[in-house]
Amino acid sequence: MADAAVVMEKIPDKKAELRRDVSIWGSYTWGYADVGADIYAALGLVIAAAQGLAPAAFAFAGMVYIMIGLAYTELASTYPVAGGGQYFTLRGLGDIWGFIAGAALLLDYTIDIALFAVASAGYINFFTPYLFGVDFGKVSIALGPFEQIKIIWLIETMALIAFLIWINIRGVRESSLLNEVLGATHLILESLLIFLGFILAWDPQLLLDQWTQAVQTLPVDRFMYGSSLAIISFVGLESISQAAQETRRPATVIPRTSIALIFTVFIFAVGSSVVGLGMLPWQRFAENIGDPVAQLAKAIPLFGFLAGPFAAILGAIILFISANTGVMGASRLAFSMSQLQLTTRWLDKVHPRFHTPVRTIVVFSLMGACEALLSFLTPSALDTLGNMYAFGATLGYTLVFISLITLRFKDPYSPRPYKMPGNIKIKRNGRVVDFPVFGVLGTLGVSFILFEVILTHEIGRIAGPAWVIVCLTFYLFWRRRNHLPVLGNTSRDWERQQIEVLTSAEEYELLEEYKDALARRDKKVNNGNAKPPTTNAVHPRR
Amino acid sequence: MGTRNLPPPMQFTLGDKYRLWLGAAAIVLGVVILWRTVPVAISPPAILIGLAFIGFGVHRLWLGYTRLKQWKSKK
Repeated sequence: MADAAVVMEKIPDKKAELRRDVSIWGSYTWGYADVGADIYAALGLVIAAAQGLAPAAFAFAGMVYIMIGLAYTELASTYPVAGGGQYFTLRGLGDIWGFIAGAALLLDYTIDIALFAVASAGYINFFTPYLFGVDFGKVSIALGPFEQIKIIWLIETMALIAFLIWINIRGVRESSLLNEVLGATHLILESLLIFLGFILAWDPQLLLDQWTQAVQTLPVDRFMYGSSLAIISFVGLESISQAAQETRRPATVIPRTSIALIFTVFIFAVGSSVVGLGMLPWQRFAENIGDPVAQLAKAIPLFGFLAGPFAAILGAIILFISANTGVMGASRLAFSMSQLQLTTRWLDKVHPRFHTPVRTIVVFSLMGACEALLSFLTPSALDTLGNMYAFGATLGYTLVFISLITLRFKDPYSPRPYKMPGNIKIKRNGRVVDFPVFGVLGTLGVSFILFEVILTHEIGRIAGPAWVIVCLTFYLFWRRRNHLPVLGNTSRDWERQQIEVLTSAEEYELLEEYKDALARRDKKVNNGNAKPPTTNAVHPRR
Repeated sequence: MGTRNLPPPMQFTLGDKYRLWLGAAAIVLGVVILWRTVPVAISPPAILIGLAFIGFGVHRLWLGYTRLKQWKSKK
């Protein structure tokens, strides 16, 4: 999202170089514009599903998200490359699992395009009753067995996706400054909404009544559905690794900015649901699923007439930028996967005039458009897309957690400027390794949400695994055709790569630490005192 | 959860002032939520969010104060 992304989007012939000066504040707002925007889409969906228990749904998903965030912080500061979850899984678990994580995240990026374009159009529709006397979000037609196709909302969504394709092919990017301004405006508006809402309009009795009623009447599976949807309000953590790639001294900067980001997003997401249910009945959010934050802002006494439209404008812009992140993320991921020999190089084709990865932009944006089109055939497009989104995110995060634990054993030499808290020291092959207890808890937490998704998401449990199976079939066929190990790993010199990454990040202190650790290992191995950890790395002479 | 120390700030920025303001406001908000909730009933989400805001505010204030102190001593 920063201006530096242009370099990646305009794929050069030689090795891609992304390192730029993203400041601490820039890194924070980058993440906040990405992750913090999710609440604009998720608030209505989660309250509609979990009703009065929505704060508990957000809190449960949020606890898991905090652990996922801390895992990403550790991995992104250790391996500051833009590949994100797919790269960490590849290093930790090998090629095939790296591909599966990449496929799951790729699915999410395409749904990201569809979901946030639909949500952005939903906020645009906030104004149509005032401008045209009709709520465009509620105009529907019947077409054969599909009785309520919200046709104008669908056309708006398609127009937004077409616009995204156009600006991405031409290589137009929002600048880092714009990103910082939008992130800061969003942060201030959300703070004001919560503060003014709690002080001027919040009724604890209304919150308690809705909570008590939900405890007594809400079926468990509805709560599980709500809490698994709540994970949508926290996705976008891949932006931490993208920021890591584009930040100088990421080992120093990333842990601080991402920890602040994780806790701010968590408290604002839970806070929004608590203030929302203390101001309005849950049915109001369920009826206005397209623009929940604007409805909340509109209900604030004295300031609502101004805050409502302002929140709607900001929501429309920030969700459009999030949809754009989906296009960019898919391009980056597909590029990273092809560089790592996980998929075809056909996707790397650049536009002769604009030097942008035209094939990935068109292919994945059109997939997003198809998903949006199909979702409008169901009773609630947003709910259907959210339903599918959760599968890819939880599968990808589960693999990242397993990789985090594995990498502590497989690659104990890479310096970790930040480690997830809660470690137990254990001895293995003559080395003391910090075993991450929170990593295990995180794996269990995110696996439980994946279980909830499979149990309660009628569309996601079919479409998600089907996507992974189709991609995996392609992967196996493609690897065999290209004479690469089908189930095994391609040999890679991870150590040389890590040295290059730390050098380009200007983390010279960590570089020395890394080289020292490798030298000590080599000395021990030569003396026959210890076995090196099993990796698929080639150990060159240094 | 150790993190590497950041170098002392070169200047006390708008972001630092926002951090201090947000911290103070979050503490006030947490207290207001608790003060308005407790007379009505012990509502778990309200109590927890009130305490969370106070904790969040203390953390932001502490961070802002540390940076302010570092900046002053450098100056």
